[in-house]
Amino acid sequence: MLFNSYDFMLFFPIVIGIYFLIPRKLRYVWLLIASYYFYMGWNPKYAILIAISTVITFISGIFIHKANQIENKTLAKRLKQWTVAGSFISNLGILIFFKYFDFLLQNINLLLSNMGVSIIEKPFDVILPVGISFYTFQALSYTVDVYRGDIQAEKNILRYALFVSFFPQLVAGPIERSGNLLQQVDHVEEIHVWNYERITQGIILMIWGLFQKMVIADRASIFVNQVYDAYWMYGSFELIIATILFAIQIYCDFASYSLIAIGTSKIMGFQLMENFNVPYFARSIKEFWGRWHISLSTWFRDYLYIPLGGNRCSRLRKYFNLMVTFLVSGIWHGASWSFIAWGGIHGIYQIVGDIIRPWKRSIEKKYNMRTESFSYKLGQVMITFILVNISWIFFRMNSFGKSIDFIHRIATRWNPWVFFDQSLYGLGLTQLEIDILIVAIVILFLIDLVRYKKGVTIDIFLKEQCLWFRWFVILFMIFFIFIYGIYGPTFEASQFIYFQF
Amino acid sequence: MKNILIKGIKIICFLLLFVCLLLKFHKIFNFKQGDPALYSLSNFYKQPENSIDVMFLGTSHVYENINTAILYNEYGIAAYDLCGSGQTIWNTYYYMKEALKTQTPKLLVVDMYAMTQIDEYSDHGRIVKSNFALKLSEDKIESVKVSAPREKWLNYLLEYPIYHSRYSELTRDDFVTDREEKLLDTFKGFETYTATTAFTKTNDFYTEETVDFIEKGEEYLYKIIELAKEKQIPLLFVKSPYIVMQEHQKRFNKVSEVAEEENIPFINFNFLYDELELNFETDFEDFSHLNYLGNVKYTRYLANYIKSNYDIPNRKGDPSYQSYEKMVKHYKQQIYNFELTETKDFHEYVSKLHNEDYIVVCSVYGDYKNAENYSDVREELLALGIDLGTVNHNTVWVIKNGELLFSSSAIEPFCWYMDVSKYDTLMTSFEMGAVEGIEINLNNTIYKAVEQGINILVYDTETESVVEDAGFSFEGGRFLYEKTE
Repeated sequence: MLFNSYDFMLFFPIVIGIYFLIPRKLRYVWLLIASYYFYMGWNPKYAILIAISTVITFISGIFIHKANQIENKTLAKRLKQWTVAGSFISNLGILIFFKYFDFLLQNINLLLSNMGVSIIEKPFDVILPVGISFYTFQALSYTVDVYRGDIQAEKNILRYALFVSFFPQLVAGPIERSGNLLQQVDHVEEIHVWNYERITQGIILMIWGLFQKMVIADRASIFVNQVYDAYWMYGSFELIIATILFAIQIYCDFASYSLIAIGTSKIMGFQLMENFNVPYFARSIKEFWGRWHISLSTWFRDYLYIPLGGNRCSRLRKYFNLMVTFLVSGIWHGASWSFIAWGGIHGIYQIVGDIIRPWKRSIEKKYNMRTESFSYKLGQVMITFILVNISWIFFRMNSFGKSIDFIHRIATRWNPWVFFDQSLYGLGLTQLEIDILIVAIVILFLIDLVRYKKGVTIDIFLKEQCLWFRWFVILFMIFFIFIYGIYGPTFEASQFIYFQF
Repeated sequence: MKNILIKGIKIICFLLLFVCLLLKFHKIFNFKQGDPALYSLSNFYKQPENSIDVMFLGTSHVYENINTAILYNEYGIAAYDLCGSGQTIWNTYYYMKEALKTQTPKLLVVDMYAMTQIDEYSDHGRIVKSNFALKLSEDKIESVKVSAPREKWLNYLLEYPIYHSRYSELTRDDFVTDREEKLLDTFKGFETYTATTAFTKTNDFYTEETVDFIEKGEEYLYKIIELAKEKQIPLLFVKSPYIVMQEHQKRFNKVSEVAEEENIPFINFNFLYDELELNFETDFEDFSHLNYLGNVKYTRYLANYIKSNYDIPNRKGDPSYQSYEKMVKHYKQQIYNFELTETKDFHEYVSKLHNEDYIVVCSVYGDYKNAENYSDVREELLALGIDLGTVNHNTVWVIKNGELLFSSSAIEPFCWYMDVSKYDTLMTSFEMGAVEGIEINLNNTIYKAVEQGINILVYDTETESVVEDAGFSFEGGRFLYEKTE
């Protein structure tokens, strides 16, 4: 069930209607039923997998809790470690099987054929369950949090199951932490549901999310697909524009999902963690990762990078840790070498950035550069954006070789005349469509600028404004979506990009 | 408590504002003119209750072939063509059901073309045309459910997912509906088409074989029969003439069987070409429809049959049927306009420009006083108010119903304009040194059919449209009377 589908339009009001009206004690049970129903909308069989993950991690929590009561500390520690290992192996085993089986088999066969050994036939088709990477990570973080003693083990399996399957963020994040969401699930009875401010803010976030998805992302994708699907037909500037539009598309697509997730949760009285914080205003790759898919990057920081040693070790070891983290992050996004390359590129960016930092500082000092000036900061933002865009080519192309060819074409086939001969209007979008897209991107820019400068999200910003302005913005966005949104019979609600991950 | 009250009022005000904007959005974006299929029904709702005596149902074979203006003007029959392009028989059923909620016609005539349908569902456009105009009711929901596959029901019921994409094709008529309202005021479901395609008469379609209808088609044909019985309104099945295929004829044979069983008269006009005196060279618009000449022949024959077999009152002269009088006037004007565009002879052409609804803009570029054959046309032009003998060789006249609204020669710069309707502005101007001479401009479109000679722009205030812009050229010292398109 997609957020921008009729099903969800029907599902969500029913869910919150009942949620608001039923006795407080039944709230978590109702939300659990709704979450499983939501997830089974894709494929009822998927529910078995999520249930298995839930049970394994729940039991591991109980085990750790019990182990903590053992007086023999060494034994307790060993038992806890075995429990965590068991939970990780089984959960990651499921994830690897469903997500990477085909990829692994393909690569094993490549290796075998190089060695002259006959290839292994694919024994069955594996279908990737929606959102498996998200909920598996969420469930695993719980095991580690209990192990570290950051939280108490959950005693009620239904509440815990709701934490793993909470429908707003189930299939595409934010990947929640037990310290945040599970605590809220435990206190769901205390939520004062009829809160006018909170509900309106949630609705505003949902509208803004739908705007980003239906007006910007789905419109930009038409241009992006046309160019990327036959990139060899185009010169530098079409490829550059398509790449910039892809950067906007993936941001709007993914951030919109998080926004709708946060908005729907807010309506119900849950506060989910922030997932995107104007990433393209970042002045370095490091900062970019502090603003992009925050729930995932902090997950990797807390559960992989720091356990590997983080940066409290030798410089070489730190670079190794960084590289491993980003390569794993790459493969988390998809079973393909181009995703690994994408992760690798970001790892290299960070390592190179760290190595050249002293040189950069000395140059800045030597030439007395105005590092606090707007132009210097803008330059940093632009360089970061360009670097991120280069990595997006690998992400979008889904083939390492083609990505290299794509970049080669950008560098060698300059065609500035496309800005004058109207040929840009023939790439899937008419002049009117491009005008709409530009207006929508300007709106996105303005709202993100407010976020960057004032540090507040649109719902909070609007709350502080006069009534006429607030209503104008809300109605403007609703009707902008109504009129210019990409939907209707010629359009099947397009999948959010991140569902496959 | 006060706080809750304020919030409640705020929510209500916001929702009211939202609903108002939504209604406006609906009004602007919903489908409008361009196809009679949609406003056949939307305009039907505006008819006074129980005012229609004969109702014609079916596909475009109804709205292109059954001339409601002739029916009223010559036979006094107050008829309405309630139909849609390529309408399926199930949609015809729901149109009929909807119509009988407010009307009690004395006769229901159903064209049987829909029985040739072999698909379970019609195409997207036709589903829209046959459902969107229906008022929201249980019947509408039923109609959509029958018309479209399940996964598309919501799109067709909510409608806006379909028409929102019209943002790239909106025009003035979507925002300002005066022209549409004026037109609908004269509209009884019939549209006249003036194109002509020549065919050869043939009986190749003739066959005695029958083919069953698709199950859904048969079900709804019987539903129509049942509904008519229930309402005690006589039914008449017809099939208007067209270039019929044998496969279709087999299904019409099946219609004959059903009609006989049910004791319903069925006239297949494909067997009555001679009786209709149809001329296959001139009377068809395309293979499927009659044109402005053919529909008159067909309608008259049908009217005579109806008059002789059913008791239909003569509404001519009845003051409550003013809208029918308007329709006749509008229809006549349409035909008159068309005939003007077809007129090639200059004398005849000029005499036809005398019409109370016309604004004629005439510009002359060239000196015709000494043309060998100027005297041939002098009288006609003078009658219109144009005297080439006394003016500069580059002059413009704007005439309405014999009255000269404006005239000027290109001696010095001028610019004259006039709002000829609420949103149409006519302008004529001249700038010094402009080699192309005087300019005629309507809504920023320049009209100039010939460089040398006479340019004429005819604007009809009744239909609020340009009838034509024509040019009569001048070559080799003579007028060429032939019109340039």
